[in-house]
Amino acid sequence: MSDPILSELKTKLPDLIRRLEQIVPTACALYKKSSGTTIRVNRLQESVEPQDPAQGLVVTLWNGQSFFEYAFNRWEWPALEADLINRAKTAAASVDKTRPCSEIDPGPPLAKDFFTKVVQPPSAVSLNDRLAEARKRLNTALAIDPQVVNALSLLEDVTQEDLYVNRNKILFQTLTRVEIIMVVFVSDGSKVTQVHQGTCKNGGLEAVRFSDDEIRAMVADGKKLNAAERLSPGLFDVVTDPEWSGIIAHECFGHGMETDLYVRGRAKSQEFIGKSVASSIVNMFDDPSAVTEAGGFFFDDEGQLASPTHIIKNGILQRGLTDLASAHKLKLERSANGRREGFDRKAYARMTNTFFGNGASSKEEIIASVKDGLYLRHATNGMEDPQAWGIQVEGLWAEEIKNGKLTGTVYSPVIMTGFVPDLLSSITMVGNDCFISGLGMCGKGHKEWIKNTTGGPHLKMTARLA
Amino acid sequence: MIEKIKNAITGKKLSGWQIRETRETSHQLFLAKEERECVRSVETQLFRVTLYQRRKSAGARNDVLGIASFQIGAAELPALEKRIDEAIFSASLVNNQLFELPSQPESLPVVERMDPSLSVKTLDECEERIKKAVSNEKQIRLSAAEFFMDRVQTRLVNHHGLDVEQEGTVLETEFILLAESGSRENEYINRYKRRFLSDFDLEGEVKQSAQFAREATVATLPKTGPFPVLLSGEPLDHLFNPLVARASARLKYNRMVETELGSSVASPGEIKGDSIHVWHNALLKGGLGSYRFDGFGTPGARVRLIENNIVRAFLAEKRYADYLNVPVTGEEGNIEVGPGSIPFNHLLDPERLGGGADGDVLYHLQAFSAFEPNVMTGAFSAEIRAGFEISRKGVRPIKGGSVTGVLQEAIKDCRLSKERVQRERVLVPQGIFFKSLTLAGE
Repeated sequence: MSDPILSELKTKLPDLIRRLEQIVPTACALYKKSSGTTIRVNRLQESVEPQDPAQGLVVTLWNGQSFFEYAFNRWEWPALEADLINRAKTAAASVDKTRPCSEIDPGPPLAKDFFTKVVQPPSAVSLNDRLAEARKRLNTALAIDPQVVNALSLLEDVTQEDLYVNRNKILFQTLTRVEIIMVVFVSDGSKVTQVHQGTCKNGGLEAVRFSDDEIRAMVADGKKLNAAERLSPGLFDVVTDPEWSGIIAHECFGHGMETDLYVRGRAKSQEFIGKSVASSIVNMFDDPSAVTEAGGFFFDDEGQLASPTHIIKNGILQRGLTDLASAHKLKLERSANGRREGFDRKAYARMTNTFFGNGASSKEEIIASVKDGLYLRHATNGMEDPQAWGIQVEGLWAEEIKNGKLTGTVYSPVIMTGFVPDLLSSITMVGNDCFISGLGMCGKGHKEWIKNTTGGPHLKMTARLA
Repeated sequence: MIEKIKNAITGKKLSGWQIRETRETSHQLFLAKEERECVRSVETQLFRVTLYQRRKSAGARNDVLGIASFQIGAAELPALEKRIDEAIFSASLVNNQLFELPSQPESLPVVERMDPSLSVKTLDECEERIKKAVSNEKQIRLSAAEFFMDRVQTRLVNHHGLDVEQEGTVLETEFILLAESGSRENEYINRYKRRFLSDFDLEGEVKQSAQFAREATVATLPKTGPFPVLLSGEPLDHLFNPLVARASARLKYNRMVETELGSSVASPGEIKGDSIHVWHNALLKGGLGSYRFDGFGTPGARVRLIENNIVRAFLAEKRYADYLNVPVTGEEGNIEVGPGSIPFNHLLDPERLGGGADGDVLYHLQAFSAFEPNVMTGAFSAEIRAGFEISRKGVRPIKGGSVTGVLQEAIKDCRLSKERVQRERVLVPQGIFFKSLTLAGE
């Protein structure tokens, strides 16, 4: 912990919390800091930029009925302490004496520092060498085909440091994450299509690789997409690749398992706990303790230690994902899903690494089983509808399958819509090749962007496409 | 603190610099159902420092520009020198084409983007207003509401002596209403931002959202096939992005669009309906994209980009204007689209417009789970959250299924309403009628 601000806070925050808890029943504090470098090169522009420092402190006060938070990025002691004590008095005075108050469990005592395993720290490789690596990938893409009018090569590292303090806990974690993204822009003279791909993991530079073959495949896909026609709408037998499977897990189902929606009465899944929501070969997880994945961590932004949640077990819905407020309100067991976009944003119940579990079939077996259908790849985005369980997943690639073989005929773009339980119940084969993509960012609605990952194996199902 | 940063930069081997200070205060209120879950306040002060280094580069015919920037808060001030040295080193690694920062403008426009009447009490008032508005709606209950009241002050200085300031306010809400009818329950999410309390119209938004939520409980899927479609409301926020992209100097420079001045934004073929006119407008009263000056200090302006479907000017901030040798317009502000000649209500009449492939069915679509056309290709696909099927038999609410199309193709046969609406970053016709888009439903 070389940061002098962190050292100071680690010393001062426990005493501050103790003083605040003389005024309100519960207080806690979270200091968040992220730093790192983004290297971005395209044919015409280059930048090597430090990440914007999301550095600041948020102090949370619970008056027995509601939370009060104060977030800031500049402080002078002891003026800050005096200010927070005044805010605690305001929070305490806001109690509605006609309503009951409750206590929040601060959890068992624990003081611990956690670190991700980093073999090759980004800072150990010179900026010049990292820039050269990004340029090399760019030049590879540009040289593949004259139809590649531009490309973007990005290499990024982020180190996040979190200090959480409440009456019983002093937790500190350092998470290092690295990311490679490639985007190719392919023109046929009248239309420019972009294809993106990449890899993102927690760890050092050793954790991410991106091969020339992958870049060549992106360019080939871009050329096919420029010639692709629109699909005639209909109901199809489809095979989803792991990326597309992951978006179904995350968008169509995962959001509806966030229990802050239960408090608000807007998640259909609440009625289905313990009931069948998918075919019996379907399993789904959220696992922040998979700490090498980009959505992983050791404790969440509310000091809850990470552990896996089995959301769907053999087709049966098990439990939701909690933040502190909803777990307290609904008297649910906590899971480590209380996450913030930054110190300046509220914590909500959020997913982490969310994915379908493996099944028994290979990708080849799944495709061979389809007489007449489509293979879906290059998912781009999805949108949740936790109350009505509607589906929207958009993507670039629907390739025709005839008699168990890919024909090379591609339709683009493509949108999948429908009703979640219908879709999940229609899954008849689950692949054995679960892959987790770390490229995604997730919003709560259209804001509160955080890093998480999605994934799964190949899945065979029936879906409405257009 | 700006002076401290300027002093720290002085004497360094740089050809230019820019510092942008942002002070933001935010008051936030979160309701779960009708209970206060959380009350928050946030205060931040940040400085973004951008350093420019012109130099010779091996193998390059002309000088190149190294650029690097970093953001620093007051608590990190002891690390300022280190951060500057790191940025100068980063700038020395990268090669970009030269461009110049602007000097102090002769004047800045007066742009209305600040509501001094907003205060912490505004959030209490919003809480009362939404509870009252919801209580007036049958079958409706409040699931959640969030209110954000932000005040942002910005000061921008650079090495040419530019020194400009502006201030803005934003009042934002996201609320979710639930409607129950028999065994069916549906939600409607409404989110919007306004600069002025007088434009916030919480009661009007609750009323319309409640109607959407109620209708969703009896809505059915649309038919499948090509149909005439009228878009209004939320989808208009991003509908025109692919057209604006064709006039983007940044995308043009980066070879992501291949537009020339004088080229059409529509696909080849006959234009049967209204033509499109588009302006970049940074001066719109209350527009979220309105500014006195942009990120480089360029004064806000209103500039015609597209006239009768033809690109007439590039939307160019200072950097890309220098690169393409075109006039500087400033960075993208609000997008303004010219009106048509047909009253909005007439666009809802399928007989007046000749009907579609089905002869007598028109779909009026007002909300999607996400309607964001691909800016590169113009293709769009979106799941329908609220709309109507209008035919001689009557009107029925629809929900689910999707609409797809390609904007450049669709605008070849479209009609624009004569009435316009101002939304967050757009001033657009209230309704846009497309003769044929593809729906997938039943």
